[in-house]
Amino acid sequence: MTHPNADQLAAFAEGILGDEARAGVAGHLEGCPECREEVRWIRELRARASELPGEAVPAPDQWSRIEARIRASARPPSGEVVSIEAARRRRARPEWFRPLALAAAAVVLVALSSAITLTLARSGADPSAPGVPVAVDSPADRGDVTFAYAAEALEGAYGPAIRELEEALLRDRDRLAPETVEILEENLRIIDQAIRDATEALAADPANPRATRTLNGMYETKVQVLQQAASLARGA
Amino acid sequence: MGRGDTRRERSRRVRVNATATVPEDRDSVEWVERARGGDLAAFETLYRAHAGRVLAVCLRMADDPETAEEWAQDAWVRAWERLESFRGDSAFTTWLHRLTVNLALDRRRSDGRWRKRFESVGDLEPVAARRPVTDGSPGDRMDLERALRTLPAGARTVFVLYDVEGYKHQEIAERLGVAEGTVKAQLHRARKLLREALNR
Repeated sequence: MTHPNADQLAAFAEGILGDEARAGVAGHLEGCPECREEVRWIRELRARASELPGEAVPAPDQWSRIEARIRASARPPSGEVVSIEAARRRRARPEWFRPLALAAAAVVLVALSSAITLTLARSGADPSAPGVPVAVDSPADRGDVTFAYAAEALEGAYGPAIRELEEALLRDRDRLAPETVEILEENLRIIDQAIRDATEALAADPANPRATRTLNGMYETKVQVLQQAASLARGA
Repeated sequence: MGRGDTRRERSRRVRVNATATVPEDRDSVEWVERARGGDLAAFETLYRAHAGRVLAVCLRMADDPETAEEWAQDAWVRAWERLESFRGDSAFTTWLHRLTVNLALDRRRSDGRWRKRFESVGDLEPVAARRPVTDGSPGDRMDLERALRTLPAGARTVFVLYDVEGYKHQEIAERLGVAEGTVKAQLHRARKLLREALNR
């Protein structure tokens, strides 16, 4: 007997499977207690999940802590109720800041794009390899990076600096314009994914020189992005 | 087809705290406008109405109650800072909910970078159950809350976002920065682990 795959059974249980496929699965379930049980469990679990309490009880002093932070923040409360327009004018940052922050963020994004040419290359003969290695031509590419560098060694070299920068940025990020934060976070997401890809490639082929250079380059890029963001925030 | 009301939709029907004045959603518009103008008392009213919900979301996504309370505070401060960007094209509760989920995911991502560089979505150590989310309520709901705490963080996050909060696979994939297939695999894993935990 051919059972429906996990995705199909789940979609059926959730009521989101297309008509044609649904008929097929329904027919299979008539003769398959194992799959029927799977569908039954998913439905029961989702029913129980929907009954979970929607609220919890905050500590009594939570508001006072929030209030204190708001009063100390870049947008402290007004002393009295003000018109929306007046509040917006008061809240607005100096004219020069927003364009500068966005321009700086744009510079970071452009630097990232021009410095990195992503080419995907097949790793080798094994089509079932978990990921494809990413080959990168980057200014950080140095001929003297030894192939013996393991992913852990690179992490050891860059990790402390990255964590320190991340910590500083977490503290100061509220001083950045939201648009800048979004661009920054998107950049970091892309870089982190590239780090994961390169690490997988190294795991599959530790002697792969391109993956080693890639990983080195990605770490350097990450440090640069974080440094730029941190100095933006400090200057805010 | 589907589940009827998603949790996000149901969140509009907020349980009333007996000691506070809780606005219905339509009155929230006025409170939001006043808060945008810098009226902290108006913002506190919004807080009283929605703090329980924000904390519940954080509790399910964090590894422990202390972290959840920090994240909930951060979410409220961020909500105050970003009120200007709330366009009113969705309910305030929906906007607040998304902001809270995004913050929780940001924090998890940041914390995760510190601890494990090369994890896939969800191989962190399962965390032992701490104090319960609610008081009382015996039976199924307590068991599921406890069972959730035993899941690895990635599987728990996906389960909470999909089966509890009602997000779609693609939305979760975008927020986590992973493939949709990974989300489905983590969800499948979470449901399997929960079955083992609850049937012990």
